[in-house]
Amino acid sequence: MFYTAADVSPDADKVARRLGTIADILFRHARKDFNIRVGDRELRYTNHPRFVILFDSPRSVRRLLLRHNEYLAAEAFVDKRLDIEGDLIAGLKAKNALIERAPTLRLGEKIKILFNLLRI
Amino acid sequence: MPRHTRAKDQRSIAFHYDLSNDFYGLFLDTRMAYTCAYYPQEESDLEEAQRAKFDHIARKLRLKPYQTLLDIGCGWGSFVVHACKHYGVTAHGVTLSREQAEYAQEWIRREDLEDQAFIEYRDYRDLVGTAQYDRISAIGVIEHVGHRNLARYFDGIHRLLKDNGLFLNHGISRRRDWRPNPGSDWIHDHVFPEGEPPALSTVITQLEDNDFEVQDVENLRQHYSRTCADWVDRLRRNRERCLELVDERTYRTWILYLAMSSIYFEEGEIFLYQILSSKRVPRFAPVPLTREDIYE
Repeated sequence: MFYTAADVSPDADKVARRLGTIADILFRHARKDFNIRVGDRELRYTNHPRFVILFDSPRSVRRLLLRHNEYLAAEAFVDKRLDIEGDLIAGLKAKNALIERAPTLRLGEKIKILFNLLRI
Repeated sequence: MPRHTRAKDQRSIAFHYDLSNDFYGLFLDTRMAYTCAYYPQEESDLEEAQRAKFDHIARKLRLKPYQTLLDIGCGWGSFVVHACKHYGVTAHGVTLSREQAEYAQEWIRREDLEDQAFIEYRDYRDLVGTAQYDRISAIGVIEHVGHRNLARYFDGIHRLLKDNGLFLNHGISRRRDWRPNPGSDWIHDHVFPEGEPPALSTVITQLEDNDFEVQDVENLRQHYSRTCADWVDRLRRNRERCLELVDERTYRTWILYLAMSSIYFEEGEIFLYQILSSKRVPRFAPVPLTREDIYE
């Protein structure tokens, strides 16, 4: 079983755990004042989230992370494949954590993200 | 570099501003001011901040009773009405949006300001040669003008301004080294076609090239970030009413656009500059020795 810093539900769901692993790597240095929901799956970092990032399905997570681009993310938001509950502006600024994180990712972390993305 | 023709400018303005007055009413303040507000206190709300913005501009322009004011791109007429009611000027507003012009003219009738204020659906370029004004304001216009037209824009304003006049340009600027990016492409494609905010240095160069003397420059990007955040809050609070006017995709496009704009201002991708200028003439401009009068 994969370890993740978030409380994952459903607890035994492998896809949820893989999503947790990806989130842990990408948001390693970010303030964990938010939660993530992907369809029915939830990654809970805090009981008092400032915002919740919502994806309609693991497929949307995969598409957005593999082809990361602000234009595509904006289209996903308009189509409701991606949404933010709570503080919208703080939620959108989470992209900065990803932008800052990207150049610091080690090869092993990139492979781990890719491995998990392809299996969700 | 996009070409800005009159027809294209009219289509772009109509695309952005003719969505419906009721739609804009869901997130703007009661004066329908769709430009950066000015928050005098940390706890000021949008209503107070928009009023303070108009006072800030009026004080910078040193508006006095019976002066003539031209407001280029007057929107729904908020500054024209404010300047007439509180500063006693005679104001002429022009906009490229029919919906805005009709709304503004009706507002002027309601306020009983028809002797003092007049709003037209008209291109500011058509006014050149017809009159000269003591004061000219252009609030949120320059981002629509386009780089190719900047020289003509400032030349036109120079011709419309009296020799002892003052001109205040309040507009969005980009960083000088700005390049298109996927986020700006999305805004261009879905919300703000032909938007082309120039760099501050470009605006100042154009002002100088067109015989203006720059008096003051103020950056209000903190204020615009907060204004956009307030608009996002209001639009989200009015979601149900908004969905009676537009579809869900349009609603989501707008909250995203306003939220992205707030972030761009916060992160210094874009700025809001108020630039006060006078004509370059061999005497002093009509501004006092210090700027204390603005803050009294």
